[in-house]
Amino acid sequence: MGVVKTWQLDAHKTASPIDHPDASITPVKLSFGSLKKVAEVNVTSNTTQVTITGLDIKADKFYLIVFTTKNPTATSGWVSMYVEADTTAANYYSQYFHATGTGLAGGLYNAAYIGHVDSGDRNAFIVWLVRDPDGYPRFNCYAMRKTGSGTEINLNSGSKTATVTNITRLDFIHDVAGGIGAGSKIIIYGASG
Amino acid sequence: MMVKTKRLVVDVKTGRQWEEEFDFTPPAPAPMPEPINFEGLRKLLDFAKKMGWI
Repeated sequence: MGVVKTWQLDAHKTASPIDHPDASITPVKLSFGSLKKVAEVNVTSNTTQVTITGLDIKADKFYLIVFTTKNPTATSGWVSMYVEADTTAANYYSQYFHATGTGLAGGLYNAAYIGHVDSGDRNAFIVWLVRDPDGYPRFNCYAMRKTGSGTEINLNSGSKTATVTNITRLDFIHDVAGGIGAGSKIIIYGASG
Repeated sequence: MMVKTKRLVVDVKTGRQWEEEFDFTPPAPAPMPEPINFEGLRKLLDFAKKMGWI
């Protein structure tokens, strides 16, 4: 069995080696308390909806979703994130805020919007998704809408109007058919321990 | 108007991934709120102060 060596400075700034047996440091231990990748989805052709099943937010504690996307269609539209196969928009609320140049805007939507992807443009969503102590799914999404000089800050926070016992499925749906373009990618992380 | 489109389904437990065709009715577009231009508002306040209105 080998050892893993670390160095520690004493009061006289002299480095002393400390040997750790291999068995004391494992990949599992190193990853404890950090993020683990739960899913990675690559969209290879234009699609309207991405459905991810087999999740377990009770075991994974929360989800951090990194979703980079492009809208290849000629129509702008919102992307919604639904939980547990409930794709009825009226069962969600989403509060929106955006900053564009010196302009600020906000609005409340009776929908599951996480962000807006303009026609022929791109966006990146960083979504935190949790199930609160009473069982309501809640999310916050930081979106980097538009590109170049048109770049905006977009924030959406929302929740479902009813509780769920777990989050095992997510559906991402663009308002426009084919609005989730080839090259889009969704990576989902959860807590590793 | 309903259109035929597709969804990508991924099962993270099994690693299986497939595409399904489904009928999709695009929702009515939600209006984007008009931004309040704070630079314009600041200029208006400066002007109102200069005129002695506030």
